[in-house]
Amino acid sequence: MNVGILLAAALLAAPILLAARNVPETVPFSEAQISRGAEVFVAQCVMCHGATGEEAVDWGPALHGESFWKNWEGRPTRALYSRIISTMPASEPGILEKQDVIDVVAFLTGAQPAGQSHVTDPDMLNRARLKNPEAP
Amino acid sequence: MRATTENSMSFRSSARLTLLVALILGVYAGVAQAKDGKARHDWPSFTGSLHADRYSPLKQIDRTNVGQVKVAWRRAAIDASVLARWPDAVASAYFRPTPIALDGILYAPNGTGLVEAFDGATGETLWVQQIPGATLRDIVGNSSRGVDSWRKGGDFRIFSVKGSWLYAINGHDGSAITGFGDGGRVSLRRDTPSNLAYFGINGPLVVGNAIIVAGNGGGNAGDAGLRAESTPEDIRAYNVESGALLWTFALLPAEGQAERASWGGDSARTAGTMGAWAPLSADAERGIVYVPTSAPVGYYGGARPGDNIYSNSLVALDAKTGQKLWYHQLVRHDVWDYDVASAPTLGRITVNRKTIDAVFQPTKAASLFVFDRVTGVPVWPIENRPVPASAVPGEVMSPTQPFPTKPPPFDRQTISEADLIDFTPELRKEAMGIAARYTLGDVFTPPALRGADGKQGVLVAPGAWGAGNWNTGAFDPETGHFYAVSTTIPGVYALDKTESERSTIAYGLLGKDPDPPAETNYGIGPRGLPLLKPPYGRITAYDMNRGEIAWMNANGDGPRNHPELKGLDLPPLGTVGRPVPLVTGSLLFVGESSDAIYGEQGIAGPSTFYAYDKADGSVLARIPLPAGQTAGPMTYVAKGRQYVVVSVGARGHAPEWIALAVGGDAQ
Repeated sequence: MNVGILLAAALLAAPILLAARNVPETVPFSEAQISRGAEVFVAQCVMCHGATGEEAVDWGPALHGESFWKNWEGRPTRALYSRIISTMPASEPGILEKQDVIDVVAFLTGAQPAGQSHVTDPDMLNRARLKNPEAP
Repeated sequence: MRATTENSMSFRSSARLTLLVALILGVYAGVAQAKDGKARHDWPSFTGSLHADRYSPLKQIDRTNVGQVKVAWRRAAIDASVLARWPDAVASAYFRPTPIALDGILYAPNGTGLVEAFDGATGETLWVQQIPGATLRDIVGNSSRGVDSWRKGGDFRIFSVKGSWLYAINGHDGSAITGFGDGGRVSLRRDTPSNLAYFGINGPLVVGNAIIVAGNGGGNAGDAGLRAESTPEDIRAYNVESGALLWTFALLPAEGQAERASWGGDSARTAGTMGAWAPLSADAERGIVYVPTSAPVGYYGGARPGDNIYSNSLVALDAKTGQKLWYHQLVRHDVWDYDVASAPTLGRITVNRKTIDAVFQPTKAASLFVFDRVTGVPVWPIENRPVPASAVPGEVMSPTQPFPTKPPPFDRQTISEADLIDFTPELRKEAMGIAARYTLGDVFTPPALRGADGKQGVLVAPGAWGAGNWNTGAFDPETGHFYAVSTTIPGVYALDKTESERSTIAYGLLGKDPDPPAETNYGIGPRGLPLLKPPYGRITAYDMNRGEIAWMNANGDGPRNHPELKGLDLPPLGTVGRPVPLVTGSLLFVGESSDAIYGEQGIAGPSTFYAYDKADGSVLARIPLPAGQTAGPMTYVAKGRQYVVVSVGARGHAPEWIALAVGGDAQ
């Protein structure tokens, strides 16, 4: 797959990842922010985590589905931001900009239909909790 | 300052007192004398010593009391002061560091790689590494496996690799040694047009006045092996005082070197993701450093014909100059990802009444090579045995691979139908069905094109995870026993043609099986169980004076309590993962590794830390831990008491250090 295909796959997967469920305590990320997060994901995360985060191409854990959500369900959204900005990418942690990380969080966890929030400050994630958008 | 009266004490009375204290401590702490005459209360290297032996002569904790060990203290992976200043700092659950212990004080990278010093008796913080003008980017990151130290008079330094930096830290207070490099650190970025980042997870090794640094290689290529263009992570040495680069040893032989011919065609211009990501070791007295190197890039080697030296090798270098003293390539033209992934362990053995200072090199392929570490001459002959050729277009395999005639392998090197799981007839039948989808191959059977002969590739033991890995070895100089800890996970090698424009290697492991069997921690297999017969994780104890196996045990329960095996009353089947051995004056400790180690190997919940009788492998104690191990255990004495410290973490458990000791309060 080339980068374009990967990007397309990631963008196509976004609506699948974000099932139709809007939970009040989650951050209502905007569609634009989710899309930009997909772009960052393709550029920075796909190599290890797979095109949609569903499978590990190399040695990154899945970022979707049961194995992901069993560890993240109910935790502060800020915690996922902190995990990513602190430990990713594994080959050079710390290189991601704050905005890139927020956008990736939006891609991985944002609900559908998308909201209106365009988050630029990680402090805005402090009070929100993560909820699996595909959970019944 | 001490009182004047104490300072003015006569030499004779001072010496007498010192002797008395030493005797009392020696008896009280059960401190043994190592064979070189030096008492070892310390754990001076993260692999135990420069010999990477993971051995301590301590035996205050012994077979009589190991059943009573309790948690003496626990310490979170990141000091609270760091989190107060940097709340986004998060420790990866894969908590790699093993502390070193010097005079009762522990030094280790924390969960983001900042060095912390803490009291060995209490776990309380003494200092945290200071980085002048630090930003979040300097603070966050991964922990390495450990640090090393250097002392000259009152100048006491801790060296640590974090991100793309080699740091020199004042061992007394954690401040930067500003005269070292650029304000206390040296950039490890590579001399490439893109100023490629260093990528490594090992700590540095100090040998004489040289700090040796090796890395993973690859240049962000990962293990997927789809791009030929990659840059080796060469071995480098820096001066302990100034940080100046002393030498570089290039893993891709330079033009003019005979070994360059092992890279056919144009491949030397691009290929070669080699590094040395397993721990190094050194013979400090002789000034030799031992480097285990990793594989070249890709599971298809058509674009890099030849043996591809110095990949998959054990290389002995002069620590002062970086000059190669000798080397042995242990896998030729690797297409299995059989890195030499274990530390080269040094030890003295006696073979046929001849004393040999040896180096023991385990491999992912389950062989244990033994060399005279000075000359590089094999202690037992190595045979070049014929191995299968490849039918993949353009792939030319080495016709032979090296096998030691002694000692025997420490894990499976073959698969046949007779090796398939047979706990029940149903499981056996399903295993046969799964196995029938592949060509079963012995070690060094090359990858096959998907669909060739109607199969979904070859199934080979060991697979890319290796039987041996960074965790594998420990050596007991008291008995001459080498302990190899290994895992049995066969690997599927099925090549598909690459299609991405990013891929510059014609074939890769793309996982395009249209109906893949379920895969678990144990690889593919029926109903969530392994495909092969047990054990799945094992300890092999070798008598290295004879080159023979003394005993072999499954390590851990493994899947014995799986619902499909209910009522079968099975013995321990062995747990997969990367458990690290620790051998002491009386015991062998081996735990179970956690699911934090990539690949979802290991266990997710509480784990067991086993204390074995090192002579025969019988279990003496099962010590419960809240999560699996992520690094090697270590031991030392602080305030007269022996401690064993274990690094633990899991995807569902915050990483931490746990100190075990006999007596005291349980937590």
